[in-house]
Amino acid sequence: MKASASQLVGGLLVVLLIGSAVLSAWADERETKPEEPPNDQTHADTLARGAEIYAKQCAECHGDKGEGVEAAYEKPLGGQRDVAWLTRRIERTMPEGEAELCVGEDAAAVAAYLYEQFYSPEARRANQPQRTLQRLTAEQHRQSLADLIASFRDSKPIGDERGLKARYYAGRKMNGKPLAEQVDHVIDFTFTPEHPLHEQFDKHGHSVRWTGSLLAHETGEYEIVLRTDHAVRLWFNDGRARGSRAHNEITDNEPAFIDGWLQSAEQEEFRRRIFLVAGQAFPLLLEFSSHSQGVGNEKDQDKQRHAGTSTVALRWVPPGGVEQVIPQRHLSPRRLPAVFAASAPFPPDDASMGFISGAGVSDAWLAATTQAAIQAADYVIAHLDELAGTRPKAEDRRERVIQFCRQFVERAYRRPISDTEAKRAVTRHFADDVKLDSAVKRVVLAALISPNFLYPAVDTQANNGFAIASRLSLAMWDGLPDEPLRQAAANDELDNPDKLAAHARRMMDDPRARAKLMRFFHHWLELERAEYADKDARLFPEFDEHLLADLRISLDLFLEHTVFSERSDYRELLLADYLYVNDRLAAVYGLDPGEQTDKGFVRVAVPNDQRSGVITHPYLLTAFAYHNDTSPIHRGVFLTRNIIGRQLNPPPNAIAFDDAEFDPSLTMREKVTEMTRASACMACPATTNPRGFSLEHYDSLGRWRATDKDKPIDAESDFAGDDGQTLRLKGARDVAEFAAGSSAAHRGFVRQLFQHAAQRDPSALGPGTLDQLSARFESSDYHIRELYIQIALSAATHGLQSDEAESSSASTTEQTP
Amino acid sequence: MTMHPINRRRFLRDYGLPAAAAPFLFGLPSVSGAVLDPAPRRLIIVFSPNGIVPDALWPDQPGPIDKFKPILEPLEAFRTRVSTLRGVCNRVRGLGDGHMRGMSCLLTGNELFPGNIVGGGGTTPAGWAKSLSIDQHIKNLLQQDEQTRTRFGSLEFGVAVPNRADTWTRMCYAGPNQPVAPISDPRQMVDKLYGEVKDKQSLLSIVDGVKDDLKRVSGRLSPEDRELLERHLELVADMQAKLELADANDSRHHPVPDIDPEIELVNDNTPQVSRVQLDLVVSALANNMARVSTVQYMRSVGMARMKWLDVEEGHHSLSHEPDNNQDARDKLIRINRWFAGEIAYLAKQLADTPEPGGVGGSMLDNTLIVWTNELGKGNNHTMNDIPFVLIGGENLGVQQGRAVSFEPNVTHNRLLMALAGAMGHELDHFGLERLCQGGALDLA
Repeated sequence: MKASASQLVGGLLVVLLIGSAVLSAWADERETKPEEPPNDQTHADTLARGAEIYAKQCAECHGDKGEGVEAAYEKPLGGQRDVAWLTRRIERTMPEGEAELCVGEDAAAVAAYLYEQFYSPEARRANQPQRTLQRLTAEQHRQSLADLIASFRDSKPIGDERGLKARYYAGRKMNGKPLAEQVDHVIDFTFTPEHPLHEQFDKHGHSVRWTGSLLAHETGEYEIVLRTDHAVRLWFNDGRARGSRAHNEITDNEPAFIDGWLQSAEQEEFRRRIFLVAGQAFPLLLEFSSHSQGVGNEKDQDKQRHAGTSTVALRWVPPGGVEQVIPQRHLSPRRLPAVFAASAPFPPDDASMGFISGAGVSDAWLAATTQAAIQAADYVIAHLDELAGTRPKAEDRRERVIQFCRQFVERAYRRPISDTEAKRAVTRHFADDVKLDSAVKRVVLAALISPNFLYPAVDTQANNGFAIASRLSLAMWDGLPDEPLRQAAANDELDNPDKLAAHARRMMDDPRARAKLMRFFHHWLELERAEYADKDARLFPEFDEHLLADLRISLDLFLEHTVFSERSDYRELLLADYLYVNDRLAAVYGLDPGEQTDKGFVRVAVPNDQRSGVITHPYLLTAFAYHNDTSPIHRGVFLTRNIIGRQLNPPPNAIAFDDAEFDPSLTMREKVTEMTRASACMACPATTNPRGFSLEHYDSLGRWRATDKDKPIDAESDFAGDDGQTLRLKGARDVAEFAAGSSAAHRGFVRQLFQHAAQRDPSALGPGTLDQLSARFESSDYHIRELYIQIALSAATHGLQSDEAESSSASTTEQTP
Repeated sequence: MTMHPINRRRFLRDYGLPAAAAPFLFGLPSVSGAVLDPAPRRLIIVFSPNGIVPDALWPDQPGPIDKFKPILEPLEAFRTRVSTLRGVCNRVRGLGDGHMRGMSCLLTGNELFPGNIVGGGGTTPAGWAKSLSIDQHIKNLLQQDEQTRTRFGSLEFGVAVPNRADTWTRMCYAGPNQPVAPISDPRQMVDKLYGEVKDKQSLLSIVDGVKDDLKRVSGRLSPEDRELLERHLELVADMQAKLELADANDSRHHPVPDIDPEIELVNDNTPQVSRVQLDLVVSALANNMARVSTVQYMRSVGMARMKWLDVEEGHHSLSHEPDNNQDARDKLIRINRWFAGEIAYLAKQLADTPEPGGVGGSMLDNTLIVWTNELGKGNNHTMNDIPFVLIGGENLGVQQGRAVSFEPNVTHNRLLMALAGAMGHELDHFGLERLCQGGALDLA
């Protein structure tokens, strides 16, 4: 993905790698609804007859199960054709050299037999060895560690208010009654004589203390940046930040995360990096003073520089973003408990199926797992008294710590443990000659690198409430069950569908669910490709990293608005006729932001025929484009696969788009048409190119244009609809409206969201799963959050009705400890 | 280029690769440095605050020291290995009060930047030091050379240093405006020095249990799922083998010292904290983790209440008492005797440890201890006659067992240059150039 993106940016010869797919020989695999298996006697007879004939006439060359035979016909039987085609083929050519042996009903019987047994995609999927066990993905791992440690702290909801709580003080001292208490939206101040509190400020300077939490929206490395021409310091995500009192005489307070209290040599900027986990809130305490520091007394103050104008700003560089003032929506005036964020570098998870899953283990994964376990163990030891609810000199400290350790293991395993297990996992580490800290370290390490933690499903074939709770919390927010869910599991309440659903709805409101859902949209829209977008500076002087960052915010605001609004309507994603813009975007995209004066974003209506939801969002269009031109092929493949919901097979050969090969006066549409006509693979371009041409009205920055190379844009094309009828699509809005009303598109969306939530294909839960979810999606007026809840519920209860899981747990060779 | 495994991480670090790319645990170099240098040169600078009582420290006349004054008496066992340098003055002026400049110019020999910190007596506000300190400069020079490079280069210890970053609490600077915070929590220092070794040991102690877990759980799974756990088990076994190898290496080259760092960091525990920190200095140097170390007791203007010496008043308040306050004088002598006793303990540990390279002699022969202070005397804030007491380190070319009195007085910049010289690096100047005239002092 990254390689292809950088090639897009740089070279003359651009190889069209689109995801793992390449341009030629794509088969347009129509959405094939699973056929109801015909159950009548005739069909059974046909299959039996087919089986008999296959064994006699075919198996010698093709293998007993169509797997192929060495030195005969080695290729396994499998493909996209239907039974009728297979029948014709068998009649005409099989058995080889003796085609007359198998014709008519015999041929039809063999075709039906092999189609159902091993040829069709469904049969192949069913015949694959089913590996159901998955390890935690990297995101799940980090979330689970954060949740595990948080479970020993008092959690409270983050609330809806945004900004930081501010207390303004007249002079240097920040105690006593403040001049003012308020919520400041962002921290980006220049204190001038015009400030409303100026009259009350000490002439030598005032002070402000801000408290609250930082809401991380993505998992990754952030850089926190403080700017001031006076004194500033920030405590972040630990004791003082969350308001606990320092209790130490020598170290009279905890060191600040960023300490710019001492102003020296006019250094006005202080930066520090930190790894944060998405959907978690990190407490902070920010102090600012325009007053001098040190020991000088009042009479000396006149010698000091007068406070004058002073500035302070709390900024950040979010993962993959540019430096900016931390926006209001990422700040909360509530101070929450500190969060443990494991920064161990996990290798990328398996994404070969088109979605992230926990398939496979590797050296790098084991190393990261172990490193994260060590980080967590060190963190637990550093906060042991707080987490275990004890004190350094408490008489029962040892007992309390042992009790804590047992709970820790239970929460890591997502279920209660037996006394035998507790002995193995906890008490045996507390030998007399082992120091308490060392014993705790061993317990935590062992718990966090044990299969019971790393493979959430390893214990859950029992299908009790704890297994349901575990699957639900993984699906909803990639993390561990919280206290209410654990409690419900312990009380056997979760096999009640209503109670379970109530938990899912409750969990939907948590920032972790928001974060996971937003991760889906980023994945669905392939936004990672945008992070590497670059443009030809001569053609697009407006383009820079700030424009790109603003576009991303604009898209995120749109997604959040749509997904987390009351209607949460999937169709609005496709059909919205507005954009979120700030001043910069308004200027570049020729929109009027109205009264907009600061750097904030506002929603601006755009002409209905010029924009239609996400598919015309300029961030996407910028990402799906060359550095100097549009890319109908990338755009077409994206629309076909992700939006319209048709599957494309990866082609065996790559061909390259070389701009220099074409007459420079040709439009992009003409070039692409020329190129794909020459290639041997018409099936796919026939579908994808017209979709890409639908977006030809948007240049490489996603700006609306009427012409290309001084010729009017031709965005019209014919399109084979779901029923095979030909539709004339005039442009982007027609495509969006088609997708909004297409059941195949809906199914595609459901499938992709399911894969993201549950790390597996819906078919893994039985053939009817996708149909049921799609039907509910439709009946809920395409409510995205409701769909997400339903997906999580079906993933959570999976196994309850599955015979297969029952039988595999029946054959369990349970070892008594 | 073949790379010695020991230097791989440093290579990664020095060439700007992110720490995350560095190999994890078993890929790490062993915690000790490279092949042991048979006669390494080492420097330990010990700081104590608030000036001293001059007539209770300085010998009566220059030349061989026959008898110590009260403050130095705890060093009696090393009398022939101790020199006192009198007449060394901090002549750096500019912004900041005496304590601020005393502290932040002590090892930098340079002025303070303008800033927002107002000192006592209404002086002009100041910020951090303008350039790096001598310990960091020497460390940088040593780290540039394959022969003298060590894992950390330098280690900055603190004892009861408050967690506050200002001009009175920082004497080490990595560069202009870049104070280096001393580590005052022995646990933090143990983690820094031996954390990785201990992590390996912790992992080794549980890895068999993890293998058992994997086997136990595998039994319940389908053959396909079992395959995944079998692969996992192989990886764990592989990690175990690497850990065992690394652990054997560690224990051969540098056993983790049996030091218990679990002391509550409160004022009254300062004596225990001090001893643990000094033990860690010796063990880190013996394990060749660094060649330079600083040990900072409290801070300039420190108000430690040394109840263990029956002193209830804060140190800094006492130091302001007039000379004729006999009680304060007695207590200040007691306080400084205690510092001297801690240094004597450090010297003894070094003297009792044979030089690890096997060339004979003790570590003290190759380790120069310098005890100093930000002021000459507390109640007048003089930066003249700053106490510089040198112990050991004869193999660095330092002549010991004598009282030296520089007449006329000399700038302390020249002494800082002499320390670099003793560590094998002659300097043209250090800190403010105009204070370096005459070059490095001759310590031989």
